[in-house]
Amino acid sequence: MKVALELALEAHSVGEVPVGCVFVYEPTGAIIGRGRNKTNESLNGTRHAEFEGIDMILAQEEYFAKNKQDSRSFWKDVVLYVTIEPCVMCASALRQLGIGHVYFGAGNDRFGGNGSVFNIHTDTELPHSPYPSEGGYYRGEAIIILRKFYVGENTHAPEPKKKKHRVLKEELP
Amino acid sequence: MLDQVLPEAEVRALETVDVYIATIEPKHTNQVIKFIRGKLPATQGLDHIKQIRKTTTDDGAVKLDVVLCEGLALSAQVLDQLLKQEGLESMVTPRIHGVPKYPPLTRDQFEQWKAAWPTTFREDTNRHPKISDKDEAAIMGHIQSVWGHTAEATSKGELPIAAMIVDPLTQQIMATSYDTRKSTGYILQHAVMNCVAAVAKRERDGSLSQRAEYHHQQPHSIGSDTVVPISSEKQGAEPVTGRESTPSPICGEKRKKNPVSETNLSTPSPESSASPLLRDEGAGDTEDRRVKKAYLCTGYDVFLTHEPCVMCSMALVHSRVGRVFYTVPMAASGGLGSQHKIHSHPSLNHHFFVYRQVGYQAQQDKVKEQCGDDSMNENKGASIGLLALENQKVDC
Repeated sequence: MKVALELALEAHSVGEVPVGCVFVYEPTGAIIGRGRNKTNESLNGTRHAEFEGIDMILAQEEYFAKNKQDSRSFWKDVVLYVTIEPCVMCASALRQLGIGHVYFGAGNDRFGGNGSVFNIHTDTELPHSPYPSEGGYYRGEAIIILRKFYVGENTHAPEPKKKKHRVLKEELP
Repeated sequence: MLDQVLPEAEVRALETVDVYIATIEPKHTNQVIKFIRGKLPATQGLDHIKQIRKTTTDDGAVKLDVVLCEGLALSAQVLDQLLKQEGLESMVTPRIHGVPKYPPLTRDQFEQWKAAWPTTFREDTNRHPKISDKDEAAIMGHIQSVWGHTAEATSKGELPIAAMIVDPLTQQIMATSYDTRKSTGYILQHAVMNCVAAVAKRERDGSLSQRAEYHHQQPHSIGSDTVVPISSEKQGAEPVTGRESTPSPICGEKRKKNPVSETNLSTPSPESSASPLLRDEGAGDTEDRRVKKAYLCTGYDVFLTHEPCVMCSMALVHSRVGRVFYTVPMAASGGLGSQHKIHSHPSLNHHFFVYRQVGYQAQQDKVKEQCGDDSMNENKGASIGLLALENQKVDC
């Protein structure tokens, strides 16, 4: 989770929404994927940290082979640590892959897919199996990094909002 | 007439909230209203509820039913006491009654709910934009064209799922794509994800000269930028080629705020850039139109053979698209009407219009034509086009 937080800070330093994540392969305990948000740089609103991490995993021949051979039995051994609750899109992507477990820092009440707005991880109607997901790990750190970002202005947005009066609040709910 | 997938709030059944009402003589109205306004707690969030309804007793006498206050606001004893203090207990006998909890958003809801209690209703035409005949014809053309791409997908062993993104202002096709999960072994490379990535790539390529700092590389051989078969076609108009040049976002923002006028703008030709709508946006001529920069897929139309899965539906929210048209609803997996309504969920930060079963009949006819009329029950029909995935538990 600390590595994920560092990736979030890296995202913040280049003006991306500061979310970071790592994927750990349980049988070896190795970090096999890292990601941070890249939506502004890529001009693609779907390039969230999770997708960057998944792509990094599949770019490695060893894991790509495992994925190709039996995608679901590979991904069930993979655990995701992410600073902010996966959004609805990522929550569904993780479910389709068959992720083993998700641990996240802070919930995301605007578009969280693992309990805050939708329950994509436990939905019994959708295809593929539900997966376990728990939040609250380094929650405070994740929130502060996010707040640092949101007191700034998103210069990539149409008509960026002026946020002169915003100050960073340190207290947590 | 296109079948719009309405937000849950527009199709929900009547839900009621309890209020105290009383049947009174018309001549006591002023006195009772004065009592309600002066002594009773005001209702909260029930501004759509009419205060009074006319009622006729069995013997034909006209009486009035009046809303006093919310059921939870006061106990019956306290209410009785207040009535006694004002000397109204003989005129007003309160009883509990359920009135519509939410304001009706459609005429259907208004008509159905008024039996419970009359409400106000002002039709919000922004919710159900009219699609002109000309616009509809263009939409049907695009849907037919997106189905055209499924043959190529099938021939390469892919699932027959395709996507196309179009700028409705110019009718320019920004990108087309199909599902590539089979060939890449990457099960998240759905048609929508590939198409959104293709639009982004187009934007990046188009602005490379101005944005030399951009050095994004897909870090692997199966990236959507390299393998995904996408044609970023150019149709007709050239006005968009320069849209990346200056970061002036006015256009995108306006289109988001103003989907109706966008819809009514049914001129699929370059001349449309001189239309009054664009002048309203502060762009009087084509030059101004050119300097506008696209922000993700803001305001674009998306044409899909199949209802997208939850992942792809949310990808379209993140991409800020304007309208989505799809042919085949996916009952088990669909995120735009079937399992969820991600395009209109109240807590999400962007909403768009969705139309389903667009061109469905045409596809069904095609299947019949290819397999004979009895194809619907036969296996051979199931392997073709429309029927290949319908009713399957597949994420599209």
